[in-house]
Amino acid sequence: MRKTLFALLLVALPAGAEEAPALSGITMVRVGGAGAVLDVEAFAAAPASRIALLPQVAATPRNPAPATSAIEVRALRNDDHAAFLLEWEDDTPDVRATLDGFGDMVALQFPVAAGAPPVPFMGNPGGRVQILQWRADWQTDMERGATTMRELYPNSYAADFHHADHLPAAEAAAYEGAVSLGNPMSVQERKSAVQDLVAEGFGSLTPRATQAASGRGTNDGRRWRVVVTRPLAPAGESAADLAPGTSTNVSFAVWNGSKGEVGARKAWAAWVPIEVPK
Amino acid sequence: MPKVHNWQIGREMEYPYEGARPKRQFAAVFDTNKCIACQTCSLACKGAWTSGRGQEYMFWNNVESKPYGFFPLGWDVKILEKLGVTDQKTPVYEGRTLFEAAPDGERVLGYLPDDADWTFVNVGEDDSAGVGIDRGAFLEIPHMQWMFYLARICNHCTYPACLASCPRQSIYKRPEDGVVLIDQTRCRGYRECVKGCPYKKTFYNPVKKVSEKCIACYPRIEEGRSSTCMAACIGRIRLQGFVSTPENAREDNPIDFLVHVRKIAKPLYPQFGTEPNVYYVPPIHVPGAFLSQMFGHGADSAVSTYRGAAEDKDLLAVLTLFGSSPMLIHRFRREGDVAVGFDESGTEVARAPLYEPSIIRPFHDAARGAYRHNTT
Ligand code: SF4
Ligand code: SF4
Repeated sequence: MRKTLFALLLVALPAGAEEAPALSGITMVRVGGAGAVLDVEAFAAAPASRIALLPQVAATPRNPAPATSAIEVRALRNDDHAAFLLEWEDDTPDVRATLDGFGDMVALQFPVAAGAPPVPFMGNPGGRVQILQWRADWQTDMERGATTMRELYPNSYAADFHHADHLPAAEAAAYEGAVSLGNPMSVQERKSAVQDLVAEGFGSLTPRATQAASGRGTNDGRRWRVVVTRPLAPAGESAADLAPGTSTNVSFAVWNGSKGEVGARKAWAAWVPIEVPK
Repeated sequence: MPKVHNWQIGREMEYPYEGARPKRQFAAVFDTNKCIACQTCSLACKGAWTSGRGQEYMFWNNVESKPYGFFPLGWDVKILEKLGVTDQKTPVYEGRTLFEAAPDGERVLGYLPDDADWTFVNVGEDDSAGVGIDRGAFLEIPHMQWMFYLARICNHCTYPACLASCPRQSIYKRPEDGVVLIDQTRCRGYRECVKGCPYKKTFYNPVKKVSEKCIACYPRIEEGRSSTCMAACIGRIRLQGFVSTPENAREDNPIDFLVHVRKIAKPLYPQFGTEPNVYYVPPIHVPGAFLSQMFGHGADSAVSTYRGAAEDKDLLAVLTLFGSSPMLIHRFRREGDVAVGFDESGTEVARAPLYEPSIIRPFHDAARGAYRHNTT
């Protein structure tokens, strides 16, 4: 499995890597203070690393010509949190997912266990990765409230009878599908725009029981600037340890919604070394 | 890619997964000749399952006027155009299925409908008939005008394209009855299934951010009852049960009898390769070329067998059982001029006469000294 994936990666490199990956790694700086960092200004002293993104061609459906070819990354840590500022070109911000449109997204990935890292592309069976995915449409949910059909389609017919509104909770559940089953995709009152996930290979992406990451993004019409933050200490099962002094790896994925990118249709990067400063 | 056997196209075909047929396969036969487009089925389904937020636009059951009605817009002509001309003159389909025609890096040949394709359901579909008899046809086309109503639900395909498309394996086919479901806890709203299903019978819910689809009313099936669209059908065009593969066909299973024995019920676009399990009695007044494109090889002989139903009491018996019970009919028997249906345990759940008693009243009513009109 691993061998095949690396072989596919090598095949992919000439197509996607316009610039050499930043093998020198990302320099994480130490700043003062504590708590989650969502502020772009906090990164003033952090140097930028430009990471080449590759087309996802290892699994179907493939994305041979992704919309994004590079991501710029800055990293910091304070007393108890790590934070990453992720920037990439995107002049079509997609902040709501419609029937035929997808929201923009970015993700960071860390190996869960210390030692040789697993396959960089979502891990492999037995080689677990933690993934933090920031979703523009989730952020919109937080800012404007959960998506409604009326907001997406102002002239649409708005049904005014929802069984679930007129039934006791236990009976209503049958009509609420993914909402009543607790699928995090369907949460109507969001607490974070970042989903904290674990994976062991393609198709295995699963939300972690403990959600410990947050983030915030802005787009000026040309470029996304997204900050993603999480505690240094692993919270709950299957979280990477980012304790001061840790040498680990990180990788990235970007989705441009209006280019039809979602799920496997993405641009992604190989592992980049990173050290959490003491 | 593994090879699976698809009996509807008479050959092995490529499919992303190994074939595994369920213990039994959900199936239904819809008689297009009897549908009156009352939409009772659509509303029965809507009221039962899609009254929620984000489901406003969904019709897990819809009825469209063919050839110019679609939901979503152009669903079948769009995918047919992508697939190219499909010749189904022989029992073995020589062309490519949607799996075999998948572009490089994709699992299925498909497309994602545009937002607007879901709007205006049924609006203007019948207008080609013209406005006012004396003003002639509204639409001028190079062939004779004809139309029929096509009621559609998810086909709970044997080789679902939705399932094949999902990179997360969030879609599964129940081994007990072949019902195809989207796991609502695993779906992440990628819409690969919406793209992949040629029948466009999975729907994205933008409020819940996951996709949803027809569940065949499986809680009813588990109780031996038919799905709500079937039970509600006022035109009695529907018969629900389970279909066997041809070599296992049971002559007393009403679905097998229509599909495999008399062969009057045909799958919808079998060339797509999904082995869909809603079978249609083709409309008897529609040109053969259209029928063979839509219902595959043998659509014309299905029509001629159906036309002869009056002389075929066993066939008449099964046709009589359509809409005669809210229960699933697993076996049927003809007792003289009466059709009888049984549930799985052998209990009688339907009994219907082949012929309605008819009385012709004399034109002159001697008792009242009056003549009768056909309006009295
Ligand atoms: S009709 Fe579409 S949604 Fe239903 S099982 Fe077949 S491919 Fe899936
Ligand atoms: S309820 Fe029956 S007759 Fe009415 S539209 Fe539906 S399938 Fe046709």
